[in-house]
Amino acid sequence: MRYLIKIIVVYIFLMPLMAFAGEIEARFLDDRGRPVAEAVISAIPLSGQAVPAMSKIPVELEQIDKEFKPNVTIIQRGGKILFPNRDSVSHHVYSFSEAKKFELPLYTGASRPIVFENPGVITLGCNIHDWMKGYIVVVDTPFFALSDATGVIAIKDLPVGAWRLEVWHPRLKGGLMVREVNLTDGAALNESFTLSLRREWKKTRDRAREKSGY
Amino acid sequence: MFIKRSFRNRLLLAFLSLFVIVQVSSFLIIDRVITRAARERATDDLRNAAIILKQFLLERSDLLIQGASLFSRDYAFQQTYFADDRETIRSALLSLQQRIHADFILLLADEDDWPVRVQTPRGEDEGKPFKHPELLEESIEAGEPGSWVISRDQGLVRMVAVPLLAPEPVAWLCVGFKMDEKLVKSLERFVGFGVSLVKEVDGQLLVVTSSLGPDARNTVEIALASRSSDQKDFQVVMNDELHSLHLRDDSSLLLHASLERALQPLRQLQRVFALLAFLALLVVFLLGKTVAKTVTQPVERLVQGVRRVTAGDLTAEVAVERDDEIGMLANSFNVMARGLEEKEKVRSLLGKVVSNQIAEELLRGKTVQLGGEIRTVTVLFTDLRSFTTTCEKMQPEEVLHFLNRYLDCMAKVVEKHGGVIDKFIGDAIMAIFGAPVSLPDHARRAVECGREMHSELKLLNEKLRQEGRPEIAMGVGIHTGEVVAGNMGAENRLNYTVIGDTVNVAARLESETKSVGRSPLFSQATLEAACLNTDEVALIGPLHVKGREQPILVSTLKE
Repeated sequence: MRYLIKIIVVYIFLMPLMAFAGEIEARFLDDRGRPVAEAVISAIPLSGQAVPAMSKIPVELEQIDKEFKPNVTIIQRGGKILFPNRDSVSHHVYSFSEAKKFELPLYTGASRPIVFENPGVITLGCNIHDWMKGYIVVVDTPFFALSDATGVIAIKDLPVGAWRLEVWHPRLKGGLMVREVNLTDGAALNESFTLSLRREWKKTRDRAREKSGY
Repeated sequence: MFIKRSFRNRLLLAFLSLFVIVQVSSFLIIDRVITRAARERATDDLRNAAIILKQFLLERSDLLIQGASLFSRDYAFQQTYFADDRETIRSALLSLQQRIHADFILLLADEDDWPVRVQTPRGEDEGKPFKHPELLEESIEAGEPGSWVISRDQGLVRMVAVPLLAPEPVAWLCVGFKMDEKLVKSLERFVGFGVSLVKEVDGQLLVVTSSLGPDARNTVEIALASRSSDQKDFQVVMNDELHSLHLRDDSSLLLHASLERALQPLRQLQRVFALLAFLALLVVFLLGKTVAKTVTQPVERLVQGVRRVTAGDLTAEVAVERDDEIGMLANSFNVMARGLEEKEKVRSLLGKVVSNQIAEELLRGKTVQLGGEIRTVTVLFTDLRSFTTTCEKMQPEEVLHFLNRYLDCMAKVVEKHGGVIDKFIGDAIMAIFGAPVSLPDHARRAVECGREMHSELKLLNEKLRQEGRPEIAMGVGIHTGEVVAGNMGAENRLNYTVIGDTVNVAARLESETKSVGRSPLFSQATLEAACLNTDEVALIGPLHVKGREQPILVSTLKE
């Protein structure tokens, strides 16, 4: 019964917010008009909109087949990430990024959780495997999304008001792309971003060589 | 001009000219082909050497890239870099430089703003902006390590740049080697060709470092400036030697080879060729001379033979024992000479018996026939006065000698005027004008002959007087008329003569000279036929001659 009352109270409390919400659909294209995957968009409230509380559940960033999976992970500031190593070989995960410097010296299996207190981009590497590269984007908002191969992603149930949209991509030239928008009730904003991407640094992984014997 | 223009010399000259033309033209053709081949080979060699050097430099760059790449992923160094421990960084850079044998090393910190900050092992240029950010940007854009040729301190350096991956590029390790004289010398030793490093300054290519001397550098720079912009291969004369040059595609490496050296085997071949040509020329000269001699010697002998014949020596004989055309010619010549000799013998013999003209007629092969023809001729008779009285005091052989002297003198006059001595009758001469050879002016010739006979007699008398001998007097009678002319006698003993009244009249006129006391005497018929001018003729008058009923009108020449 108390549980039900709690739900009712929360529902009543959230009613105004849910009633006055909108949606932002973001489309990411490169210079040549091709859809861009792994683009990160986050919406930061500018007009004091109430935002949902952060999830306490740690996010997992695995190492499988000597690659970070997923390649790009978005997490709200203060969130935790676990780095389980599913490979049979050890990995040495490190970051020299300003937002979070850490290292998980050679290990296999489960790792200790790392808390990301500062917003920013963290580039992950493995000291053993030159080609292993992963990104963690720490954002100061619960509203964020990662584009898939279609280059289109929607952030739903955004309270009406002014928002700062921050766009990032691992190969984006010149850091963040920022755009401010005003969302009205029931609106679905279509925002298109043209990203100028630099070429990815040549990977050193040679799968054919990994298989060949002596 | 100084050489006798004989057939032999011309033949020899033709031989030699042909040989020289063949030799010179083949020499020129071979020279051209081999020179071109040598040049092409030199150019090809330079191109290949350029490829090798390019590969050599690339591999050296790759070695530096590999060394720097290993270092750039060193976790300890990455930690040091992010800890911004400058002193340790510098020490680590120095260690790397020594490890990979680089001439220099730079660390370019990839900060948010360009230009990037420079860090070096010894701290020089510390914190200064990197001078070639555009190259770094190109490398980032390409996503690959950079490899550049950069001008530095008046020289060139080869620089490679690899990122410090953490795991994204955060800084750049630049290592390189100086492209200095030491390098070009080692490259020169490596490929065996001269090597120059070239850089472009204000659109002009300048030689930065070269294995050539300083003089040659200027020459090369001028040649570089004057060639067309896309010309990679060109030639230039340096130190009195033609050099073939090849510019590498990116215009930083120039290779040069002495064409003289490439052409050395050719020059050697040329010398051998020249010697062989000289020897062959000598052989051809000697051979040609022998051949020319073989051909011309019999010709010369023939010429000598012809000369002897021309000079009257009909016994000339040419000894050529050959089966060819020249041998045939020599045989023909000999046959001809023999023929001439025979003919001359006959002519000479005949001339003594008959008059020359008759002898000629006979020798000319005209059929000698009996019988005769009626012709109008002029007959001249001479006789000596009181010859018998004169001879009485002489010995018989002296008489013959004296007579022959007189007859010879008169016979010559007759022959001179185209007359024919028909016969000598003692001291008398019978001469015919107009037979056997027709003479349209036979009458005039006879009259002139008579006149000259008297002139000759005067001269003879002059001599006789001087010799103390008695002088002689002569009478000449001339008459023109029809005669029967022809060969008379037996089949194998012929005598060409004329007969008829005309002969008798002429003889009578000659005998009349005694009574008239004038000579020569000639008939009216002769006068008319000779068309003599009246002022040179003196009319004697009609004379009754023996055997003629009608008197004959007789004239003589005015004295």
